[in-house]
Amino acid sequence: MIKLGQLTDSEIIERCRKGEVRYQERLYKRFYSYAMGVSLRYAINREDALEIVNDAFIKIFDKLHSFDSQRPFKPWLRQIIINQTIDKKRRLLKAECELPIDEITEPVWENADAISLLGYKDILQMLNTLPEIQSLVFNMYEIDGYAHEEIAQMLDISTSSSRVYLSRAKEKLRKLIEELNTEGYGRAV
Amino acid sequence: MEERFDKILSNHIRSVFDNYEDHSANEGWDQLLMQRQKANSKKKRIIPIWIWTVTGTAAILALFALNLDLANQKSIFTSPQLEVKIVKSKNISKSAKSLTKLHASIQLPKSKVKVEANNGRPNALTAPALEALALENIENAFVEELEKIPAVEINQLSQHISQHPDLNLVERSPIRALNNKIEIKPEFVKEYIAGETQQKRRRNIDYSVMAGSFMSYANGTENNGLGYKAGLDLNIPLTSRVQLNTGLNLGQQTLEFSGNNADLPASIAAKMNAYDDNPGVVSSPDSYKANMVAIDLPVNVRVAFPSANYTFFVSGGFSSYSYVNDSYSASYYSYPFGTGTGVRTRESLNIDNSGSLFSRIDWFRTLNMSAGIDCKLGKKQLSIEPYLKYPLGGLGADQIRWNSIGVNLKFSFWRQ
Repeated sequence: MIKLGQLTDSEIIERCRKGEVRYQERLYKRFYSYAMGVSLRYAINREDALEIVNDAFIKIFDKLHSFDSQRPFKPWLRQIIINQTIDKKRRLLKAECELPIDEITEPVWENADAISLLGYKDILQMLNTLPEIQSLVFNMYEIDGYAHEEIAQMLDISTSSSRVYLSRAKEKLRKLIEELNTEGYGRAV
Repeated sequence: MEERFDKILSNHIRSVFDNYEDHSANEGWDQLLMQRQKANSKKKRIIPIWIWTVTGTAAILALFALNLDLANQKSIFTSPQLEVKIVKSKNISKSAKSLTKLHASIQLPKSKVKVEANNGRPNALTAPALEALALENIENAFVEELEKIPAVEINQLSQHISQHPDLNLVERSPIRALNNKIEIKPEFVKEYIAGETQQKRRRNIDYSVMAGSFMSYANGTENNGLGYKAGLDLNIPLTSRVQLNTGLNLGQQTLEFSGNNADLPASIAAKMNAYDDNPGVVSSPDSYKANMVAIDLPVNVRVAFPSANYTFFVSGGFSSYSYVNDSYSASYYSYPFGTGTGVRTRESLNIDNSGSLFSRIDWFRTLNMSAGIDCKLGKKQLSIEPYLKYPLGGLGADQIRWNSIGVNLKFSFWRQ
């Protein structure tokens, strides 16, 4: 009997290529937490995140033959999840992108210590208060390392819009963190 | 601390989610399997219950109309009081048999006859009591009928009918009626001849030209425009009420799909996802447009319910298709992987699957249902026929399941 736990990622991927559902399940479960971690940042809620993850894995199982197994799997998975999110939200984003954009000056942030206290639920709660497009740009730029040019191309918006959305997102997040900090201070007093 | 606040925030978020632990993988996997199963079951041809209901109703209507038609023909020659049925019976009384000797033209079928009194008694004649009753009835009926019908009259009628060879071909001709010892009166023969003439007239094939417009829909489509069609239509009578409707018409239709994966038919999404087969590239559909000029070859059963000025009809059947033009245009995003850019590019392609006409025929791909009216316009006739086509399978090279709803107008020039 094969002990699945001993197999490397590329070995599992090789088995998945042959369409073996058991190994697809193994691959899914091995990267599920990571995938959900990426997806939750972009999704509206947990159900939405799971749907994106599952759609991404279905696509991955279909396209696994084209994956170079010498490369790390995680970045590929992350990229597909992000693409899946963009595809899913394209219509919604189109409507949001039509809103007028005012240039916003780069905020000066303070109270950096408050950040380290944030758990994943706090972060998700904060991200969910942002408009969809701002949350998306913030995630793509700040967390996943896309350049504004790339974001602009992927979301069909201009580079300057991408910068503005990012600034707005940061501004809102800064205010939220400050509020949280004040509330925490108030409670302590 | 000089480090920018936003960098601290993003590093913290990255760290939190990179180390995120989720223990619902089992539930997630179950859901993925369900998603897959659902997608697979969509691919299977499932005919919904309502289709069965409509088809069943149409079949019952057709049988009902067919039965009415036969009953009408039968009633001309059967006695209003008697209906003859052949059933298994070994106990035909001697007296009943002896009755047959009274008149040469009346014969009692050998040991297999029963007569049911058509006076509201139950039809289940296999029970011994009813059988006895039937035998009693046949004896009485024979006596009564023979008293009414002079032998000379029957002979004259037989000769008259035999001069009309067409009538002898008809299964329920008066000759047969006579041989089956059933009452014949001169007016019945007149009715019969009139009826036959009328029926012969009815049995002419009815040709018409048709044109129609319709709206097509497939799961995931948007901005659907009107489609148009025109062609020839013919109704071949099977009985006076039931006709076989067929013909040939040319129709044009266009469907546009959005690129959202969830909306695209699974087969097209899979195809588009695989457009770019380069290693390390994932493609994702953006838009898809199907354009089709197809020849529709319908085979329907049409049941008519005539009245004085118009005829109401219902029709049901299947259509097969061949294609004059079967082309698709699609655009998709290509996400190259491994270059580090992650930038998607938009690609487009046009596919023309049109071959020579009739090189591809999709047999019985839609279920047709319609109801309408035939209006008489002098010697001509105009039919207005709203209809619905439900896909039983995919059409064209990409096997899209088209639904259509529309109206046909048919104009018959050659009506007699």
